[in-house]
Parts: sequence; C-alpha cells; structure tokens
Amino acid sequence: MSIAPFAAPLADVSAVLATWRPFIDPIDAHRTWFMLLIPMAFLISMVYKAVRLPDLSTYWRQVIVMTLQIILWIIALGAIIFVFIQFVAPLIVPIRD
Amino acid sequence: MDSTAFDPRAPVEFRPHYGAAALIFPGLGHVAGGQVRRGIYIGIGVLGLFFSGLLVGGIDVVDKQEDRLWFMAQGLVGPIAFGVDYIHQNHFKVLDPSIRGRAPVARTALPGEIRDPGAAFFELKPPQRSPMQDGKPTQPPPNMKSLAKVNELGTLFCAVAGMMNLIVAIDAMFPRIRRREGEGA
Repeated sequence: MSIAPFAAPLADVSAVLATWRPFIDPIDAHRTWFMLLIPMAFLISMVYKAVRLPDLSTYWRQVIVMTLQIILWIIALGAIIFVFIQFVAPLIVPIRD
Repeated sequence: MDSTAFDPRAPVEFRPHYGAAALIFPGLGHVAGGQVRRGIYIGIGVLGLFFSGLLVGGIDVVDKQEDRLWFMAQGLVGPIAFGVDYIHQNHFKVLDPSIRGRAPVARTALPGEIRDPGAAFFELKPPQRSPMQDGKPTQPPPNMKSLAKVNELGTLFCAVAGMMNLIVAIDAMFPRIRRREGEGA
C-alpha cells in the first residue's frame, strides 16, 4: 500500500514550516483559528487574576477556573447564536422563495 | 511588607510613577511597588498576549499607519509596541512607486518583491523583483501580509494585551484599591 496519501499532508506542513518566519509571517491557522481562544483566555486570566486577587496563594487554580469559564461561556454563546440564527430567526422573519 | 498582602484599612494611595512604570514595561509598576510576584505574572500575561499576536498574525498586525485604531489599543503595551511598529514601518515595508504625482507611501511588499539589498536597516526604498527560478521567486518578501481570521486574531491578541496593560497601570497607580479577602475575584 502506498503511503503517499498520508505523506502528502505532512509534506505540505514541512513546506509551510520551511518558509515560515516566526513573528514575521502569519501562521497557517485558517482551519484551526478557533483553538486560539484557549491561549487567549489563559493569558487574559493570568493578567486579570494577578490584578484582582488579594492573595496569590490560589493564583493558578483561579487562573484555570477563569480560563475554563471563558471557554465554556464562549461555546455557550456560539450555541445560543447558532440556535437563534437557524431556528428562531426564521420564525420571526420567514424566508420567502 | 508582604508583596501580596491587602490591608483594607490603608488609605487610597495615588502613585502615578508606578502607573508610568507599568506603561513603560508591563508588570514593572507592581514590581516597583514591591509586588514582585504579581508583577512577574502580569508581565508574562501581557507580553504573552502581545507576542502571541505577533506569532499568530506576523509583524503585519502591529501597524500604526494602516490600522491606526487598533494601534491605539496596542500602543498601551508600551515602548515595545512602538518599537515593533517602528521596525515594521522602516525595515519591512517598501516604498510604493506606482503612485505618480504623490508622495510615495510605504506598503508591505508583494509576493515576488524584495527589499533593496543596498538599503540600510531602517531605510525605505522601492521594492526590487526577486530572482526567479522555474517561474517562482527564489526569495520571499520581507514579511507576508496576514489575512482573514489569522489577521483578525493576531490584531486582537495585541490589542487585548494593550487594554489589559491599561488596567494593570491603573491598578499600579492606585495600589490599595483591590477586592477584599473572601470577596472573590
């Protein structure tokens, strides 16, 4: 069995990495851009909790909790908007052919 | 004084130099005020956001000329943001020679264009064509322009870094305004 179909995506990745210059060129995250929510939520939580917590003894636990809260609320918000656009909005304004 | 202690009986203080320090380098305001650990966490967070933005969208996401409104937020990170923009404007861009009768404007080089090899590090000159091989340019442009979601997210990362640093600077300026123990955060 040929491994060409499996090796082709890897070849694409290596070709991209060969020309990619960190901090100068953008990353190729056009299909996985939504995953960037995780580092963004984590880093925002790091700064926010460093400013707001009176005592830093529970800092990392609080950071992780806030990160999860942000991610879950964004997912919930996306689900609510999806339901509204797909099911509620057509009831309010029916689409005419 | 313990760097993480909070005393609700202490009067509100105004320390503008701590705020200025925070705007010069993220976290420096808290470090100067004796809250070293807090300042380190803040520095890692704000600079992590800023450099994550650069990593995602490339240097193109920090652009005072083309994205002025976004830069108003990004600039709050401090001299680092202005330095990145300066390097972007003066080292990576090229002068657009196509506009006649008007002053040439700086722009990102297109694919197939390169910087003039004779130009100084901070010198803008019209672009030169890259040598070709098999119909393809052998040299990449100085930087690639980011597009779509990658550009939006990179720009957002850097802008959020600036806005968070504004909150940090205000917190450093008023070191006693913080939630009381047990109130949550």
